[in-house]
Amino acid sequence: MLSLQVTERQVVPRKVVLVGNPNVGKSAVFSRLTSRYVTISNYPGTTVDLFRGRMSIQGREYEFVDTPGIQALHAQSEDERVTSDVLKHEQPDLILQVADGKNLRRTLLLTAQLSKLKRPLVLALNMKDECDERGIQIDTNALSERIGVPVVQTTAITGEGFQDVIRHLESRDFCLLNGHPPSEWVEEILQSVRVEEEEDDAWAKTRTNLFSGAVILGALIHLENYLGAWLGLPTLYSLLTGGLPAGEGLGASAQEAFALVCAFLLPVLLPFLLALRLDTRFNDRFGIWSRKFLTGIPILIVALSLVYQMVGNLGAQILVDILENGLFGGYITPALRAVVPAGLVQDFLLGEYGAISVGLTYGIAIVLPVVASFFIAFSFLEDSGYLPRLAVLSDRLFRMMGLNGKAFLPMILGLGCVTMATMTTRILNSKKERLIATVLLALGVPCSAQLGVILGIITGISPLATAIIFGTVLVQLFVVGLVFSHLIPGKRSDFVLEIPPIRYPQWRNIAQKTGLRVKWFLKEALPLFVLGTIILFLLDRLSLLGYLIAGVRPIVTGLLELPAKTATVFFLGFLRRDYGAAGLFDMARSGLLSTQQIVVSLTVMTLFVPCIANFFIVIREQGFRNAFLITAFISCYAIAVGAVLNVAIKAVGLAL
Amino acid sequence: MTPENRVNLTDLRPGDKARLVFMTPEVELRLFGFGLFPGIEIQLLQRFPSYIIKCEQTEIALETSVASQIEVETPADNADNHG
Repeated sequence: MLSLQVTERQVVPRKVVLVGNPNVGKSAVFSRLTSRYVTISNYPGTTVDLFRGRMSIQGREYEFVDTPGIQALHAQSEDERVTSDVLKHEQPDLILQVADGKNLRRTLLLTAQLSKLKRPLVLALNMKDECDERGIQIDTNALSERIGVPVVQTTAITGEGFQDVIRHLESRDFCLLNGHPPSEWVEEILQSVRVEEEEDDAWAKTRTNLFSGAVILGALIHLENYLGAWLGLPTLYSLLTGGLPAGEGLGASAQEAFALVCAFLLPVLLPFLLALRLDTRFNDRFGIWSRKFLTGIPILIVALSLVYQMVGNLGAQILVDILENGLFGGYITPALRAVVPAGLVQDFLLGEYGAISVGLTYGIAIVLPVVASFFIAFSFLEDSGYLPRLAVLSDRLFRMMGLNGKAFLPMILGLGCVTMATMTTRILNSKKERLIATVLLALGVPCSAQLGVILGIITGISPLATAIIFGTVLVQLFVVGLVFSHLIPGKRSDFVLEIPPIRYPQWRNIAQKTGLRVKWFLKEALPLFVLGTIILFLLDRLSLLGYLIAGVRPIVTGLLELPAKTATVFFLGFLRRDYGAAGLFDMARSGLLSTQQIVVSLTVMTLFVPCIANFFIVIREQGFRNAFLITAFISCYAIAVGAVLNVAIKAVGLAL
Repeated sequence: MTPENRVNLTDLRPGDKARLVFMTPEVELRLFGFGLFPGIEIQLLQRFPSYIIKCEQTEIALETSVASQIEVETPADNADNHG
């Protein structure tokens, strides 16, 4: 399913398997060689499955295989096993070892192991740009002589050195290391490694300080926009919104967007991006700050709030408004209403459960802008190298849940899409950890679309209500993790994680990645939106919907004290959780839900069963029995938590 | 190099450089893949919330229970590396 053939001929192609340590750029090299885009990020574990691409280069046919990164030939996690299986069973014609040129000793440890496979080998020392930056020079000729195979230096993101790679694709040379790890001679190969700190360069230091100062100032302005609003102090945002002449309709949305970008996004992002781009010393400094506790927590708060501004406000409020009220409400629906005669067809397309008025509108006007803005923000975080630092900060918390900091990566990916993230649990080292992470993902990690819609709803309610929703969900994640860590036999593995350097993200990669994910959303999610609406329409027409709602009435209206219509929303939530959330969004806006009902319904929806796609992936990764147990457990648990929360809020008499 | 210089990784202070001399068999196999093996130079960068060491150009985060299973030899002039 994942393989794609670029050219198809009846020749047996030469099979080239790309192997290497995690996060060295195998996927970037693969993309270069096959002209096929595969997701590239700056953290170990981006690739957890095989990707194949055929290419005809200079009249020869090649099949390239991109593999998950490995630490050693002996696999320690599921994703590594994928790679070692390929090497063992597929008899590659050539192993192309991709490596980080900055870590030569570590690279050669793996080369020595690979040499035992007795296959032709070529070593590509990638990230030449970063080697140059750090003054690391490698004598590739001497190295090539020493180990007996071609050695080339490449920079995958620019294409530097790929002529040499292509030249050596026909190589039949075997590695001479023969399982022996490298020794003192590595020193001869590594020429003139510059001393790390150039103490004397005063201007460089000043420049880094200036950049740091500008970024900190921007962060303070950003935070003041929140605090000021609460305390009634003047803020940049209120100045901008108050100072502009009032607009109407779309003009008002555009103005709001402008004020938001100027007050919240630009002050931090602009100096930060400039600093990242222009000053590598700033990157190193930011890398240190973000993995230390005292500086890391404030950075996390600012980063979260930036994502919130981008997704919750810009995406879920302003863009949704423009698309829904402007495009659909203003043009498409009225135009169709004029064309389609009243009756069954109009009801089918534009009625209460209309394929266009509900299915497409929810999908394109509510969820798509949210997903797209989230994917942009998220791709940026992925490519900067920030995420593994959060794994360091959260390790101690995860350890209490029978996991370790490494589990942070699938968890945060779950915000992108729980289904994809469930596959990423393969990077975890023990079965126990994979099971716990899968349960937590299915239970309480909302996917981007759902999260965005939730953010859209809660901008209308009080901070206290917001805190109750997120607090409840986080506490449930923690409690369930804690309990499961004791119930599930086995041991958690130790936390050992490589922390990549902070890098200036490649805009082209962000655009490609976002495009790929949006396309995926349109292909996977949108049909389900329309299908779900059609099912509801049919049930409604056949008067079955009433029975269905009546069947779950004791739970929905009795236990959770929600309007009966919420039952249909929960049904949609099983098809796609974001679709369900969009339904709640719609109900909340129409004033059908009290604040307490919003809190309860959002909490239940967030904890509720995984969507269908995730359910199938859980079956694939964990087996049918586990998938069924997980789903049954989560359904009951979500409703129980919602009921308890409802009673608790009433008992305490909280004014929300 | 005197025997007194041989300490646990957890005894180092941030900024200290040292030579890795021993890892317990429990963690050896896992750390080997990260390029950690007896004889190489490492530097301790941070102790909390996780230990972070630098080895060649790689930063590796380790939890305490792993770090305590690594023994290192410190050079006499380590005091110079703080800053």
